[in-house]
Amino acid sequence: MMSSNKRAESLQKIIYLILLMIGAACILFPVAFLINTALKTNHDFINDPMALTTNPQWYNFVEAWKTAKIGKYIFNSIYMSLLSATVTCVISALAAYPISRNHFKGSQKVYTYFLSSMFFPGSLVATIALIKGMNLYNTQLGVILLWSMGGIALNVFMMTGFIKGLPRELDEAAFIDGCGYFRYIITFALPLMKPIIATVFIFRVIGTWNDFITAYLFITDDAKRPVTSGLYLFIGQYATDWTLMAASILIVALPMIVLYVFLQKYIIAGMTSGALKG
Amino acid sequence: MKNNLSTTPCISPFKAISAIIPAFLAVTVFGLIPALLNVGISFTDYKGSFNIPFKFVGFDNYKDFFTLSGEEALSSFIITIKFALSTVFIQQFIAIITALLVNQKLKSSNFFRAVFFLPNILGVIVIGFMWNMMLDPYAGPAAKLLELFGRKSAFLGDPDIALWLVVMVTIWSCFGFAMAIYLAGLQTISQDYYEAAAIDGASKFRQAINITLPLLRPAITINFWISISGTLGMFDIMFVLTQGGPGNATRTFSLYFFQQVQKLATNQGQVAAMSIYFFIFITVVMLSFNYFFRRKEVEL
Repeated sequence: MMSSNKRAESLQKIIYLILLMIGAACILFPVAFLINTALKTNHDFINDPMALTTNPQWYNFVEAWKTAKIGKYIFNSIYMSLLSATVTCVISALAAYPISRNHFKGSQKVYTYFLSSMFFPGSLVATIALIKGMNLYNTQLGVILLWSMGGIALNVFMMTGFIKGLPRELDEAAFIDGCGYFRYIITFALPLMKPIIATVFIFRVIGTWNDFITAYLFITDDAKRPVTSGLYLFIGQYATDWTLMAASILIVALPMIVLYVFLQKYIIAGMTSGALKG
Repeated sequence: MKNNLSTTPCISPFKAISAIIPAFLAVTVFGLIPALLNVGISFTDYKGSFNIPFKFVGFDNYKDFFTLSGEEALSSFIITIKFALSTVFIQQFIAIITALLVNQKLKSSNFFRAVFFLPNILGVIVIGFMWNMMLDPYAGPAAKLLELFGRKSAFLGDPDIALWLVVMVTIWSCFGFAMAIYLAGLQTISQDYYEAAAIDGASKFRQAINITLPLLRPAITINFWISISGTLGMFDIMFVLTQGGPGNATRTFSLYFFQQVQKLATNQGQVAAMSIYFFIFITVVMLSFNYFFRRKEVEL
């Protein structure tokens, strides 16, 4: 009796595994195909797109780097993405602490205002008008501001939820020792918030690195473009050179994939935590 | 809430307020002002630049919308509904199934969870290019697969199936996110329920229907909410995959709107009015969603 039960259980596990493997193959096949294509010569690709590469063409990446001006775009992306994620984290953390600890009258009203702002009926028409009115159209600063300010309400929300889970006694002890308010936030509150700040930071870096629409719409100068919109317009021009395009797309995806391999747990938690607290 | 204001002497409300001022400004300048500006612009014939003279036109943009772009808007509206409905339901179905599978105690669970979530960290440019390649009618693997059966297809170039391929790519790229939320929900369900049910002789299927599903309800609600609001407003994936074509087969309402936004010299007041109409539509959908799900929760 027992053994037949066990056998049924292991059979079940094998079925589950097979189903999961089919699913994983569906997800990974396009990525594998992209990598395979990036390592072929264009001639080989046209002859037989499906064949595995026998003689990996690492030079494709060098060529993509040069032809697609990826070096410049990547530099723009790194700079804009890191800067805007940093600004978001600082501003949100400063706001989240007083709000979650009720440090002034009306803080809950401000919080409600922040939350409802996520449902305000703005549109791209108005955002373009605003950025033009601020004289920031076609500047990196404009996109950095849109990237960093746009997510603040959500990030304050994520951080507030985290701080509410920290014991209050801790901050009272710090205050009894006596210290200025900002010194207190910087030396005491921020270190406690490290996990959530790291989460929001990674979440913002991924979001901004991958953002295409804002970058595409608000920057028209080629030299100022980040890698997404830069590459989109490059691809439009070189639409026949598959291997070159695959190599350049892979260069864009690679930093995020590497980040994901190492920080997978935190990234999944970070990207879903905004939803889970809601 | 108000009366538990901290009484510690060294908290100065003035300094606490100054700490939230940057965030307050950010939300106001990049949240409230664009919303007011959008409503304001919708009553003018603003042409994409404050240097070009424009005037107040009252409700003209709202009335003209139906005569000038009514037909195009209606067709893109229908495409949006088709796209959203099919994406939401298929995606949630796949996400629940994969979450249940990944939740089984297998050694490789973490690996599969990571793989299914992977497309969420790839940007729309990467996804768009990858799938344009996969679905290329000459060189793509999908075409090679059909060749084995002696068939041919234009894939994204075929107006009859383009929308369904976009649905497929969207699900491919997003279901891992929903799965992660279902998984988090599943992990909060205590094993005790299942043990008790097993002792009472309930089958696995009964357990799934009577324990898992009701306890997963919060995760289901939040996932449908995210998925509905997300798919109704989606346009970037179509923009990189098909540009809305062939013809207008994959032009969702938001993509139509986005195309109008790029025509800067045209009457942007009308585009703003269009965004207000769409905002009202989404609000109605989401409010009725809330109403429907709240009532269901009371019934339980």
